[in-house]
Amino acid sequence: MSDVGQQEREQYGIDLTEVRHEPRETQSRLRLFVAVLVVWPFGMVLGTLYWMHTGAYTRHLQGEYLHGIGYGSTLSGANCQVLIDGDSTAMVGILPSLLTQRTGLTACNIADVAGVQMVNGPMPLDDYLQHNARPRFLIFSVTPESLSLSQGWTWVSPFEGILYRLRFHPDAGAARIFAHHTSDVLVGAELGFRTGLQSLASRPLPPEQANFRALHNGWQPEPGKTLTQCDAGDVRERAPDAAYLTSLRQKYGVGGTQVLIDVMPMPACDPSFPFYRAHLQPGMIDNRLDTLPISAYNATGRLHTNEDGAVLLTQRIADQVNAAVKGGR
Amino acid sequence: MLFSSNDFLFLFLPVALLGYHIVGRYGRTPMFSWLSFASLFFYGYWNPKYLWILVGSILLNFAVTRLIVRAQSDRAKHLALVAGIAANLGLLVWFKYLFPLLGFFHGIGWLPRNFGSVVLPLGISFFTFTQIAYLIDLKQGEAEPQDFLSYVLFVTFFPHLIAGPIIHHSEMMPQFVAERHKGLRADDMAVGVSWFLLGLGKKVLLADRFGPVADALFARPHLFGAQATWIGILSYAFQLYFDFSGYSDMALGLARMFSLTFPINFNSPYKSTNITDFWQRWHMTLTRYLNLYLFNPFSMSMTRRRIKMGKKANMKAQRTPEGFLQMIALPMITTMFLAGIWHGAGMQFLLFGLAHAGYLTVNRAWRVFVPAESRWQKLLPDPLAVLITFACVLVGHVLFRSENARSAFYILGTALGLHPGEGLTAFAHYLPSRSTFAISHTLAWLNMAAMFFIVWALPNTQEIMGQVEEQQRTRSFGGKLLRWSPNFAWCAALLMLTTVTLTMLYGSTSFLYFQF
Repeated sequence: MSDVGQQEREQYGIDLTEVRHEPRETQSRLRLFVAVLVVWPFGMVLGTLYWMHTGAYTRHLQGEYLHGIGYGSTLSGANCQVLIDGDSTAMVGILPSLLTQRTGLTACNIADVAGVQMVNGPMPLDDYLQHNARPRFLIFSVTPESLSLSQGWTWVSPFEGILYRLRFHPDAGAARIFAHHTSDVLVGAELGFRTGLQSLASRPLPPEQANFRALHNGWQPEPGKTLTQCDAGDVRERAPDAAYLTSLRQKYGVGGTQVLIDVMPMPACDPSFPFYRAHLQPGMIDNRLDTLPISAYNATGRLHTNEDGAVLLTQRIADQVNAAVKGGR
Repeated sequence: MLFSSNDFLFLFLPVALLGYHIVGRYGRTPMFSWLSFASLFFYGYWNPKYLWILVGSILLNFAVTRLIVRAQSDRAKHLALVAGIAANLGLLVWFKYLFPLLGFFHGIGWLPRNFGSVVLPLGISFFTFTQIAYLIDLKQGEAEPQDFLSYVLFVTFFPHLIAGPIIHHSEMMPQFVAERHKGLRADDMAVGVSWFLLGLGKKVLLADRFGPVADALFARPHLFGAQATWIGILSYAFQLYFDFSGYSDMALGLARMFSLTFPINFNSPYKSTNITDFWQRWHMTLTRYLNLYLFNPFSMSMTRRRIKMGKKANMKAQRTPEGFLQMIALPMITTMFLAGIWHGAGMQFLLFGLAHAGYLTVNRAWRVFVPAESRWQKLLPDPLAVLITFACVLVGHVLFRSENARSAFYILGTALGLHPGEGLTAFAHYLPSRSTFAISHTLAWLNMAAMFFIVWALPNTQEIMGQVEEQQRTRSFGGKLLRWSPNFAWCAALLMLTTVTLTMLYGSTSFLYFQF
């Protein structure tokens, strides 16, 4: 036994410099033991990603919000004269039925949470345009910080974006993107596994909930407590990118489609409001940065309106569309 | 890179192990190169800029080792050693103390301008201490000179790089014997992976669950009343315990995956029956370091001074008040003072060090002045001794964790019922869902009871893993029942633990000792 070995044995009762030879049978048992432990986490991640790919995953989750992700990619043969796209503020805040009522034009809302756009770009919109009639008005309605492209997956949670990609476009492109963002995908898979496990005992969503977006032309409310004060610490300031907004108009403003880019109104107490007042130059957007009373918002997400707020917001957009229709004549 | 991060678990570690398995077959140089490269990548992943500090420190220290080895006279060796230690301490002072000190002087008006702050490079204390120890050992002939590659691997090997254990060269490098290191071994992998998973579970499922409760208390000490303060203090005690215990298990498990055994670094410290015992169980390699390189030299120097002055320096002399003060109390207080400020430049760390210096001095005085056969030595039953030791440790923890000394005393006052404040429901606004147990009276105390059971009654991980001799085992229940074996039951249990841990990994935070 070496000196170190002697020392080790005296101190810890083990001599590691001693070469141990396990019987062959034990070796194979040890190998199996190790293999199971090592492979399991990888299997868990891959299994969860596959599970998220299936529709069954979101049908069991409580609430229809995740099940409704990628609504634009599910439509085929629709004829929406006014098409709403954007982030979650548009998804919860713009009522297609009210828009139709006030403009006389058919309207659909295919907006998704910001994470979908961050991970996949305008994929749901492109899917929609590929399989449906071109809209007369395409309205992008987003929070002011979404008036520029996000650099990396840092701005919002990518979970919904990963879920969308797995459900609607699990292709080589997805594999490439996921390989670049392994860490986020692993976190997404772990979150997916956790929420999936929690929902295993629950019944699948009833059809009226599972098809909520389809039944309401894409509107997806997120009920929650009405906001009473702004969070002074929640500062989200990212200067609008005029070039990005121009590229949106150029890409989608073809084939008789008029593109309108709107910024979501904010409560006057929002800590980022002065920043966007200063940075939104005339001509960048088609409405102006305005306010809604704080009672029009709820606490489910950034600038999420409640139903009262959604009515106020939709009325403004309807007025904008009506003005555009008049201007077009 | 955190041991409890996805990047480490799913990307870095599998690649490092696989590379080692392949390269290990081709001999020592490729294996050392691969492990050094992987370790440097591991360090640089946090911030590549700071990799240069680690590399610079290694180059400088390696140059000093050459000077020591080549020096002809003892004086020249000594000078090289002093220069090396000074350079290492200089680096530590620059990053750890200079700017906080300048900021303090600016704050009290002694300096006209604020010099700002610098980011503390990860693990700087640990890689600096490891290298200082090697220089001293080399000069004293207790370590062998190494080639550059071997030295780089010794300093950077990722399982001990960031937060220890602080190891001696002789504890690690001779283990890289050719016969054992021809790739991964199933027996070592089985022990290593299981040990690592147990540590990961401790960190993610226990430490990270208690952390937010402690954070809430220490961020707003004035908000909480006595009960909430007690829950917050105990939460911190368990967070720190499981954080460091988990880290140590992971470090030792990782080393074992590469067929290396690291020294045990954490040995059920809350089971200690006195404060000396506590320090012999908590961050054991740091205690050993402090003992070897601070306490012993101070004590020796005091002893020599006494002898020069014609005074006695034997055990009998230690039993006189003057002898005790010079040979034990002063070296102890100096050592713990330095240990305190090693944790950071703040009054709370200084007080933490001095509090423990006080505890240790009283404990040593008891052992020196009260004879071993005295009935006073048997006065305290062990459970009461454990309880008193734990209470002393808690006071130290409060000093250690508080934002400043004033907050620490306020929290201790509230725990004694001196200040009014809100109950457990006040935690509601500050806790993530995984920590909401602290809001409910019943759940909070049930959780505390469960943790006390774990730390006081159950065997520790190295005992479960069968890595200590029978006579070295701590007193615990279910030692045989919980003994690890690579069988179906343990495999199933570890798979369940891994599953739950991975689902909670999202809330995992950095290890507390990473900040030192």
